[in-house]
Amino acid sequence: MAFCANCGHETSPQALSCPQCGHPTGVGALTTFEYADFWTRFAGALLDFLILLIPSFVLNISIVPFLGGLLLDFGYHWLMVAYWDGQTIGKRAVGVRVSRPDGTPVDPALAAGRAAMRLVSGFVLLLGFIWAAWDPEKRTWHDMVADTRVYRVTRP
Amino acid sequence: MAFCANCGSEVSDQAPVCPKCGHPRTAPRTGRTEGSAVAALILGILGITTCPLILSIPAVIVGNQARAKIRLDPTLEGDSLARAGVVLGWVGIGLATVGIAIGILALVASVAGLR
Repeated sequence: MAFCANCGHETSPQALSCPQCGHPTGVGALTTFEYADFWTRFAGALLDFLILLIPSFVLNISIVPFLGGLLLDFGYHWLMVAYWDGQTIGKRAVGVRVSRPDGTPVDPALAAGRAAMRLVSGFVLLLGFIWAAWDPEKRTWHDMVADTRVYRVTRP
Repeated sequence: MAFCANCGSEVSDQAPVCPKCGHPRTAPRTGRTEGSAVAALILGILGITTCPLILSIPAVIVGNQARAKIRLDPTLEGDSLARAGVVLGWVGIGLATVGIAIGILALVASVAGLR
């Protein structure tokens, strides 16, 4: 639990403003409830891919080909989404966040399921990712299975 | 008068969601994701990619158990994760069955051809 710096009212650690007086808590980013469009997500995913490119190459030649990179991809997306306010480095760069449909944070188990399903989305010629281009709620397969949404965020 | 926990704009005490940003006014959902639903999904994926049958059968079992558990307990979530695990498990079993059938046919054909 956290407390408002202005009025001392107890606030949830995820709350961006105090529910009592409206003072910003300085935590996280505002959810706009606007679905992030395909090209924005593509740019974020591309950045994450480039960040993981060299480490996964090293893992692939040092552990097991193919499996090392997959494990790194799973671990990165799982832990970043679970413990960094629903964002990876790429998502933060393009200003989007993974949350549940009502804007509440994704818990670690759900983030693990989403990260696992993300691999399946990639296996089928990336069809599971491209799905977001025409889905009315801009969901990928991993968003559908985990029941998550990717919303645009703004910094207060 | 209260204030939205997301955007800080003033909202009526009666409003179910913030009129400015749509953030729900009620306390965040307390539902936890059932861990075995995630386990079923991971088993289903591994069953297709690494070792079919050995992991696909547990994926179906664990997935169905997770779904039953989630159905009984309203505070648990993750039914669609478990369902994906069950589906991937059956796909893995199907692929393995087809593979074994082709293997047996090839064996029979080669034995018949030797005579």
